[in-house]
Formats: sequence, C-alpha cells, structure tokens
Amino acid sequence: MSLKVDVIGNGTVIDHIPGGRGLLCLKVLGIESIDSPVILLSNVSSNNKGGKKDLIKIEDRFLTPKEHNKLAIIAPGATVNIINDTHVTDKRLISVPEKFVDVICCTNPNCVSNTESYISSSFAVERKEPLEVRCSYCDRVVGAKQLLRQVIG
Amino acid sequence: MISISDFSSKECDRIFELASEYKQNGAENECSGKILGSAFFEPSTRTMLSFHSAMQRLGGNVLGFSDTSTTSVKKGECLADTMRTLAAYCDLMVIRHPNEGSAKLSSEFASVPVINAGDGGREHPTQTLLDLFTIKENKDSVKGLNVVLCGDLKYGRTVHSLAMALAGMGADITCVSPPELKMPESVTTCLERKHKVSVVEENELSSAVKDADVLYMTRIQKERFGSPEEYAKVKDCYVVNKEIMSKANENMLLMHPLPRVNEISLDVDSDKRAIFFEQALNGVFVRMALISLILGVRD
Ligand SMILES: [Zn+2]
Repeated sequence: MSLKVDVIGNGTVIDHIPGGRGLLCLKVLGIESIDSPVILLSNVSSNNKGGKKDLIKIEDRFLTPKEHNKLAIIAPGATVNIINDTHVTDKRLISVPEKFVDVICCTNPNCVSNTESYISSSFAVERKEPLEVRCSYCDRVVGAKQLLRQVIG
Repeated sequence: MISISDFSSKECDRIFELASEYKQNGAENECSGKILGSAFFEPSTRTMLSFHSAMQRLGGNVLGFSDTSTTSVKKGECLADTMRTLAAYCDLMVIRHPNEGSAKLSSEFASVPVINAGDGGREHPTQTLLDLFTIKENKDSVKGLNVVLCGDLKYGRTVHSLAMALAGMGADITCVSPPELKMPESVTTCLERKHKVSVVEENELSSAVKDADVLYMTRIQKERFGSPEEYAKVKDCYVVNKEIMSKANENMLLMHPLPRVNEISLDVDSDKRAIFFEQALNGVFVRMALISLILGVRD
C-alpha cells in the first residue's frame, strides 16, 4: 500500500522515524505550539527494510540544532528534509552524536552541572543501542529510558 | 589531575619512584618561589594539611581557604569565578568540593593545573595513589595479591577507585560489607568485565581475613543513614581487634584511609602489620611527587 500526501511548499519532512515514534517526535518539537499544518503518518511500511516507519511533515517550521539532538535520542536513523519552494534543499540524517551538549540534564542532583547553572551539561555517548550516555562532569551513566523521559518532558 | 584514570601506569610508577626518593632523602627547595592555591570548600583537615605540608617541604608557599564562610563564595560567587580568581594568585591549585565534577569544572576555568582532592562522592585520586604506593612499598608485586576491602563499600569514595586500580594491576578483590553497604554492581561488573578479576563477597571478616594479603578497612559514615537506628545496626559490625589479627597471616597489611572510629581497635596499633599511620605519612610524599611533577621541577 502506498500513501500519498500532498507535497509541502516550505517546511520540514522527517522521514524514516522508527515505527510508532512519530508522536513522541512531535511532542519533542512541541506540537501544541506549532501553528502551521502538521501531518503525521504512522506505521507506514518502510520500503528498504520491510519494517514500519513514521513520517512527519510540518509546514513553515525548521528544526533547531537542539531539537535535532533531541530527536537523536528518540529517532536515530530518521532523515530530515528541508523543503524550500517545494524542493528538497537539504537532507540530513539524524544520528547519535559523540557528545550531547546542553541537550539533557544530569540525573545526579549533586552534579556540578546542576549546581552551577551557568555551565552546559555534557554527555559522552557510551553505547548507541540501547543509548547510554555518561556525564562528563560526574560520570553518572544515564540510560535510554531516562533520556526518553527527559526529552519528551 | 582530576581522576586516577588520568594516569597511565607508567606515570603512576614515576610518581611512586619520586615519592620514594623524597621519603628517603627529603627534598631540596625545589618549589621555592612557587605557590599552591588551596581551595577547600568543605572541611577536610587531614587532606588539606597533607597538601600544605607537601608544598612546604618542597620549599613552596601555600595560600587559600578552608572555610567558605569567610570568602566571596558566601556572597554567592560561582565556583568558576572563585577558581579563576584564585588561579591568578598561584601556580597550581588543589580543590576539595562537595559537588561531583567540581574539580573538572575548575580545570576548565583555571589557568593553572588543578589537583582534585575529593569532589563529592566521586573521586579522591591522591588517596588512591598513596594507598597504592603504600601497598607497593610493602609488597613485591600487586599481581596476585588478595586484597580484602571491608566496611562501607557502597558510598566509600576512595574504595571504588582503589578497587579499580588494584584490579588493573592484577590483584584479587574480596568484599566484606553489611548488605546495605555492598559494593555497587556497576563497580563489580566493571571489575569483572574490564579487568577479568573475580570479586568475592563475604559476610564474615574473621574468615575473609585468613588468606588476606591486605585488609583495607573503611569507616561507616553516620551521614549515610536515614535514621540513627539504621546506623546503630551496622556501625560496629566489623571491628578489627587482636582476635581478628590473630587469624591473619603475619605479612598482612592492615590499612585505613583515616580517620577511624571504632572499626580498628586501639589495641592493634602496636601490631607491626597495622600500617595506617605510615600510610597517612606516605600521603605527604606522594603529594610532593605529584606537585613537583605537575609544576615541572622534576620530570
Ligand atoms: Zn553529572
């Protein structure tokens, strides 16, 4: 089955979101604050691996680097297409970076990144699947579940 | 110098070699004209005095504070500003702070090298170095030694990095602790996976001590418990006394990072195997070695 959705003039198409994660992605992007039209397709069959994927189209909205990094936590492997005047002008893969800077908070309340508010939190990626990161200040390891909880607030 | 893992084993050996030289021959005024900035945001008299003694024995000077109520920290100054300012007055800094990661943060803002003298519950690398130095000084090799760690193995800040370092050198680790103060699983799995060291857990000190080469005691801290009753339940569960020492072999080393409370009774102090005061003294030599290597007066 193929689904056809109207092309958008200007905006962002996030494709190849792991099946069922589209709604979480919209939560990260703050769907309630988006005024323009949003399309979410969920559990579409993905032609390359035979699995399921989600797809999001948002008109007149582009991702900030911070949002990009947050999406890396819930939807690694997704692609972000920037549409300008109905053409894809930029295409980027959402991959897990080596480091997350200022994206998430340390879960250790005694960590200096929490007590000294002017510094940016910094986490090195220990493992990508399932995602596990280590605080560069206190060495606290934060796992996938907690990361997810943080980015979807 | 933030974490014990900042050192290669070769660098550790160099520190120990130099510490040993200072212990035997003393030091000339190698650091004369140099200043150690000492930032103790929480009291730790023993560690602080050990650093001050080390710097003064090297002929250097010390300035700093050990009580934040008299500094601008009390006026709300942030850690980065305090350390940046202090860095301008000295050639090297030592920091003790209750928050984890504070030493690393300081090193990012300070223009001079920073030595971590304990950041919250995380690390206290100079303690680990002096413990290793003391063991190496008394034993031919660390490899194959059976090291029994006893007491608070959950919160004991020094004991985790010591266990890691010892395992890295090929020692076997035996853990003796009350169930509520067990070595965290994250540490034991790391020891087993990374260093291929088997960690044995024992409840009874009297049986664990029989084939111990080193018995490392730690203090069970009152602050770690929610109620006085919980503390009372475990506080005296492991006490090294003459009876325990009579079960240990004659070359065993009895160590303790000090201060001790009840976990080592006074009647074993005269036992030649009780080396914890020597261990504390070694702290000065190890810190002297570290300071002169960091300042580059030795290489
Ligand atoms: Zn942290």
